[in-house]
Amino acid sequence: MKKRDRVFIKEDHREKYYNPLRKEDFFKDHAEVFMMALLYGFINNAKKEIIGKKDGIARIAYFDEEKKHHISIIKAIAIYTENGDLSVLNNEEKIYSIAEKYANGGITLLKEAVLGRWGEDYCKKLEAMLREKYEDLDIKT
Amino acid sequence: MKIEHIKFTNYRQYKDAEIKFAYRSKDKNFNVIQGTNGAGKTNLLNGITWCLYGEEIHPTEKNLGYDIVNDITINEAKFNKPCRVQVEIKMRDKNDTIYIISREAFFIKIKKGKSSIINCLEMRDSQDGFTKLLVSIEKIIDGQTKITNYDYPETFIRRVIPQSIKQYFFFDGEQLRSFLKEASSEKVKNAIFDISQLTLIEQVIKHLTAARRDFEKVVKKDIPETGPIVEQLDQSRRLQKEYKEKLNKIIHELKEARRNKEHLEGKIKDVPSSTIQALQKERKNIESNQATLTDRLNEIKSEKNEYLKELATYVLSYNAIQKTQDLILEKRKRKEIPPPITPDFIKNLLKKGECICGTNIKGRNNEQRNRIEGLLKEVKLLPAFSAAVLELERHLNNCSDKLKLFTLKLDEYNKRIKGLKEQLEKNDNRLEEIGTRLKKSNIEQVRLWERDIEEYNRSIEKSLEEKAELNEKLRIEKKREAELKNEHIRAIKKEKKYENHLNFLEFCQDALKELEDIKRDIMKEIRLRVEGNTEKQYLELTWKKEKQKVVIDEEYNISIKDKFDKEIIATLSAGEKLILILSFMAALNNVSGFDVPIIIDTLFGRLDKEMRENIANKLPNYLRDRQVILLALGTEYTPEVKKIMSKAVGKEYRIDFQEEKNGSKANLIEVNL
Repeated sequence: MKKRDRVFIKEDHREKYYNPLRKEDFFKDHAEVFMMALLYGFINNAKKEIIGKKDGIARIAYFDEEKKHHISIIKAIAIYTENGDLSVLNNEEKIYSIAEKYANGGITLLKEAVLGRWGEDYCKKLEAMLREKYEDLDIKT
Repeated sequence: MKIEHIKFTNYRQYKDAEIKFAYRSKDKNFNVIQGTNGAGKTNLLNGITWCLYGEEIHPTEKNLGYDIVNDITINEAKFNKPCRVQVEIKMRDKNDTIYIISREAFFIKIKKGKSSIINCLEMRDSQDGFTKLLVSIEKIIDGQTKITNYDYPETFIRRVIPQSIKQYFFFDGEQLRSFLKEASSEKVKNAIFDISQLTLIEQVIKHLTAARRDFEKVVKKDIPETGPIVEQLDQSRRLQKEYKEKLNKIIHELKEARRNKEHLEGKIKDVPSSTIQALQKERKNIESNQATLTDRLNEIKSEKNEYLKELATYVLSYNAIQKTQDLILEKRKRKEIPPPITPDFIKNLLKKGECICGTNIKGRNNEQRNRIEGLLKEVKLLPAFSAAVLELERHLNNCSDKLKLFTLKLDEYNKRIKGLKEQLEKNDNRLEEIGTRLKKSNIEQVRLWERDIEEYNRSIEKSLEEKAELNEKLRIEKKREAELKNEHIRAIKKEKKYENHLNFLEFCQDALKELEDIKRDIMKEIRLRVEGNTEKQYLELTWKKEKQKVVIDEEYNISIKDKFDKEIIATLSAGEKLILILSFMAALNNVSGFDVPIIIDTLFGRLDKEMRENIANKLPNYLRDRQVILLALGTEYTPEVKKIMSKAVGKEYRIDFQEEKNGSKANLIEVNL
């Protein structure tokens, strides 16, 4: 089986969501937008199948694995979605397919959060949201 | 290339003069030519550039309106008999090949009533109609001197020392000083552009852009549906051009306002009142500090944003991270990871032919052996999977560790940001206080200057806002252009028959992008190399022990920062500024890759004794690998300076200027060292 080299989105999402989001200085590249969309889809349980033509938005090589562990997070999300089945690690196609569905479902939520209200600073909103979620996590320091 | 010898014939005051230069030794690479004001120092430099380029680089007041032919020659010349003017330069390259470059012109005296006029004669085979440039190479072949002429002498000159960069090799002290005074980023950028020799790339970009524009018109005609896209592209490009012009205007206004403000602050600093001087000094320090603090604040905000992005990944996927970690821990507890049996262990057993229980497993039909071989196939899969799981665990553990410090780190960032904002506000308040006190000063002139400074501050703030707005608009418009170009290509792609159109358009776009990238990369590389070189030269030449850094930023502003990263260029003395700009010029020379002598006219003018002697001490070391020709006044090249530089000076001349009945002439007299 051919090794996966990129992740896909719905064809019209590039113009509708990815390009406008890239205009904000917050996201360095499309891989970062994809990652954030996938996370928004994951926490809101918004998994959506891509129907119609697809567009290869970012190469997998552009995800930052060494410092930010993007690929490992994508794998962990796939394992979680498959009810804790570690054997999904043998199925690269499935791992990225799950990621693409979450990104497909999360992109509208991300756009609303970042570009929704004029003048509101996304970084402040993000910080407030993360602090709130962090409180709920049982993380021992 | 080194200059071995120059010969002047009827060129200005040099009726018949020759000068031989020191060029062989790296240690005795300096040549000094002394002369009083008006003796002919600048015309020596003018003669060299006239020979190379057909124009004088430094027209002096005395020369304006005068012809270049020596006045004795013209006065003694018979009517209608041509007089020849020539400057010949003999140069030698690293391989000892000799090049003889000469330029000549002919003048004729014509009677006009009671007076006479002097005309320059037109010449056949002349490059500009009136002067003729010749370049020949002299080589020794089999003991015989062979001379060959270059068919295209201008090409030789362009290759060896292009006219566009001559000002970085042949310059005078006055130009150096005025360069620094008006060292606008535009000048620095132009200098770096000239050294980078990017004219050819610029021309290609220009031609390609024109070709693309013409082609877009053709496409618009053949594929009407692309019409609206092309119109939008044109509009976007027009807007970008408009924004760039407005930006340049604002940048210029900003510089003017800052210069005027600095000028007035300088005046306030010089007011004979210790209170006012102290306030002004404090204000200058705070303003410099504000710039550093603002940069620092932006840096930390950017770091914080990057941190937020990274931690968002871990916080929002924490359920998945934790679940996966728990699953892997389970596998560890059950000793499934890492696997207890490895393939190598089984291979060894098979090789040995004996199981760990002692059973014989030799032979092909051995049932136990077959079972173990079957086990080997199963176990081979496990390590790859185990390795993947262990690797995943490593990464996820790293995420968890980082999560533990999340609120702590975030609070730390916010604390630092708050601290900086408070300091900035405190400084702003103090600046306002100082402004108010100066506005209420009992010296009327100070009050007036302060009011003007306030006005300039308002104007600077407004310009900065407009600049930021325009930069943003330009950025958005550039992105829009990129999107429209893609849309354009997609529209053409729809019809297969227009494949050729598409190929050409894509070629233009790709080529233009590549060329712009190349140009930008070259400029950046040259800028950084010039910056590094300038710093190295400057630190070697200055006598200050404290750590300093020379910066040429992305907008080509040149500055010096102290060990606290504070801008100190405004506090440099005249001598230090001269050293800075000399270092910059030397850096341009070094980076240019052109091996050409440096000629400096009146370097030490207006410097005090200490500064002059210090530069004289360090200069030979820092221009060690170059042939240097210094044209100096007697008042600059004092006995002390001469003594300090003596170990580096290979030849010294004195210009002997004589006024005669029919005109004037200058001879070059060698001084015994």
